[in-house]
Amino acid sequence: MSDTADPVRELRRLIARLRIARIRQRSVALLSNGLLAGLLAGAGAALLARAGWLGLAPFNVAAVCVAVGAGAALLWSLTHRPSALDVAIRADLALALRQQVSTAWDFIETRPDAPVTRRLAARALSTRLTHRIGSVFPVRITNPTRLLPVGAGALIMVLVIDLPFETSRSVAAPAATRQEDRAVSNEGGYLREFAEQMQLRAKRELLARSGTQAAAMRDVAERMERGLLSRDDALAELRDLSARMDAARREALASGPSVPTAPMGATRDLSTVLTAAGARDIDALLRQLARGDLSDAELEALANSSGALQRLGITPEALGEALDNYRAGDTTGLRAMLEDAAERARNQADAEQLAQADDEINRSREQLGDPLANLDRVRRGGKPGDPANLEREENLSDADDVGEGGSPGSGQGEGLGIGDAPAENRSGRGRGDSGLPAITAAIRPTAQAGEGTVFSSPMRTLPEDNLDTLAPTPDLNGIATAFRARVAEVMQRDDVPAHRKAYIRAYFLALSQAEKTPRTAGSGPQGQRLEDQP
Amino acid sequence: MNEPPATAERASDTVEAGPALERLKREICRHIIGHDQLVDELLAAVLAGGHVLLEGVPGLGKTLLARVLGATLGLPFARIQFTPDLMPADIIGTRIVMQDEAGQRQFEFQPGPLFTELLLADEVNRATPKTQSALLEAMEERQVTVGRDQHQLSRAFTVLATQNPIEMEGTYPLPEAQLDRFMLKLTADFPNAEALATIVDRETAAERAPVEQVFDFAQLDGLRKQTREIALARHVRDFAVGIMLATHPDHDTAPAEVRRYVRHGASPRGVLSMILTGKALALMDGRLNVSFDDIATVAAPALRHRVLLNFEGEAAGVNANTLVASIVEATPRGDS
Repeated sequence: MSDTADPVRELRRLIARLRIARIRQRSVALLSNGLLAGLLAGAGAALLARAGWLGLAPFNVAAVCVAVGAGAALLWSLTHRPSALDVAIRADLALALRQQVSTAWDFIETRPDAPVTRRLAARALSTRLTHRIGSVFPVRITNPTRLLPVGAGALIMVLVIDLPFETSRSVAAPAATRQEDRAVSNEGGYLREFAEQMQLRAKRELLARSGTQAAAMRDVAERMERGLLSRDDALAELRDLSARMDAARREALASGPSVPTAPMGATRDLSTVLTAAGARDIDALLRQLARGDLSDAELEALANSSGALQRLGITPEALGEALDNYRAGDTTGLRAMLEDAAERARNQADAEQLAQADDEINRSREQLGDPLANLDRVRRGGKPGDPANLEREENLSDADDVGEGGSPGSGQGEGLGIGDAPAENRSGRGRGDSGLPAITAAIRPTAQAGEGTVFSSPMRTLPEDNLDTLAPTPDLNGIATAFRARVAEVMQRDDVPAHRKAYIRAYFLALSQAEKTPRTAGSGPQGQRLEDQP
Repeated sequence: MNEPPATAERASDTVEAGPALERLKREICRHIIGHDQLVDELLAAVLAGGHVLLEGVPGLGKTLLARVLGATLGLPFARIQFTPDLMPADIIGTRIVMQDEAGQRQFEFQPGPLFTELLLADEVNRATPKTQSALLEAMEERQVTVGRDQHQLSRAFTVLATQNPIEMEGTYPLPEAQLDRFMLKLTADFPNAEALATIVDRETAAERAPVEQVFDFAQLDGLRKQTREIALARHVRDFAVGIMLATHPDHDTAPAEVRRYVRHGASPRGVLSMILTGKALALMDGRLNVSFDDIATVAAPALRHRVLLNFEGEAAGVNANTLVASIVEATPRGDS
């Protein structure tokens, strides 16, 4: 009997063809489902990514979702292929063949040698199923297939349409967290700008530690600004960053000779020396020294700048001896002396910059509600460039550790200048050598809550004596002018607490009064308490 | 008498069974007007070798149906009118004292009306349970035991019992064990106006057309064998089993209404009844295999008397037919 005449063989062939058609139909349907699911999931994920919730590129997220959806559908269709019996049953149901095909196939599988099997196969073939295969499992356009353009359109819209970050976040985030996130983002913006300036200065003045810490600070600030950090995460990062800043500052101070100078004094003194020597920078001066081509006039100018060099740790006697040796042809002494001074100046500048950055970080922490920011600021406050502050900080730490009405530690107020005030950090420092008397600092209990817990706040006051000798400083006026627009902006922000607004307003009003009022004893801002922390 | 050929050689017989059965049905329907479906189901039960409980109000032609069926199949027919005072011996037979030619007296078994091939047990629920139970052995094993003697009944012995669903007074509902022995429970519905008109014309005519015998017993026996040879695929078998299991309230696949209203589900005889009568329907349709539709068609007649409602179901007037129909609808057909 030929193959075509054998109904069992013919039915086997027929079922195989039906199975292929069924697998094709099912694969297309599953692929449509998978693609649609992937497109919709991709649109949602891209939306989240654009809102900054995922921290991934929206296009990449969408592509992965679509690929996963389609791949899962294909994998499922390949691993869950329908059996031949299932195909036969479906064919019977689709063509209303009253289970003639499936019964024949069942008997072929279970009782291939039974006589009735051949008859069943012949009867199944008599249903003209061969001519109706195409209509059994057609590749139909299912509902998911029809919705594919909708899913693709949604994904494209999410990827293409410009959604402002804030807007998209406001859609996704609850109102309670929206305010918090905006505060973190704003602080991140401030810190990023500061870090950029710090990086520029570090590069310009070869401040290695400041450059490293500025990069780290910028990284944290950018993540805060982009909304990638929650408030708690941001505070944790800022605490860590502040600790690193402080460690780097201490390292900078420890690496230089222990000579007390005012903030910005070292660099200013060094500039004075360089100007006197007619050199562009310290390297040029050292090269001139190495060549021995400093003129007599320049050597004289160097000798006249002994005041600046003294503040850099070079005594007049040592300078005179070094200059004599130089004139005698020995350049090593003067060269070593100037190199040491330059290194010292750099360390001072590094420490100063790091302290300023630390202040900025602590201010941001305070803005974000970190209760430890105040403590850290006080603990690390003081003249940044002054190594003596290390000892003073220890004293402050002792006082803060008590914190409950304990008397302030000894040594408070030593060497504190106006430039130490955090509120003034935004306008810059550099007035530590302006001749102003030191502002005294005190730890005073300001509030008590619960059973005996006392919150302490550092307060700085100007000394009440010698006020007549004080003269208004241009920097003070500059602060008021430079920050006027910023203050107005802050006053309109909702995320700044009212009591802080009152404090800021009072502070700058006091500065404005100092700008207008002639300084007399007991009047002006110096006569008021400048409370560092409300 | 034409004996059917051997199974392996009957390749074409099955195909020919269809027209023969169609001719039988036509002859029955010539006398039984307006009950085509009932006739189909009755023939299926006969081909499957089962007994039938026929329920319907008086005057719908139940007795006539049994009489015509017996005549067309050429089966000896007997009728027992069940009454409360009917005793088991009245239907089984009894031993009576007989005197032989030698003058000796001895007991001799006198067969009752049960010893026939087609028995019409009319209004079977009017007899006492004791008498009803006398049918149990005869229906299941096709034999009766009198004293210590067992008497075999005909292989074609078929009981066609009727009961009136309206009258409750003076009736004894059939016990579950006996109900389970009926392969199908059929209902005779009231004929429509057109059928009634035909009945009136035919019954009031001067002459009644004689019933023509279509088969003899041997042919019926051959058809019964062919019925059992109809192919049953696994997925169709599983469909029937699934329906039967779903009638049990404690089974996982039971629908909510079954869990709520059913006290006991169908016995395994239920699924056997479905498959055998399904095969008979396939044979009558000229097919070699049982289909899902065959099973679905006979599900209600095969299960409605086997599904026992609880009090809540009876109080709520739940219909076993509806329950079975919902089960059939919910049971998956094949793996799909």
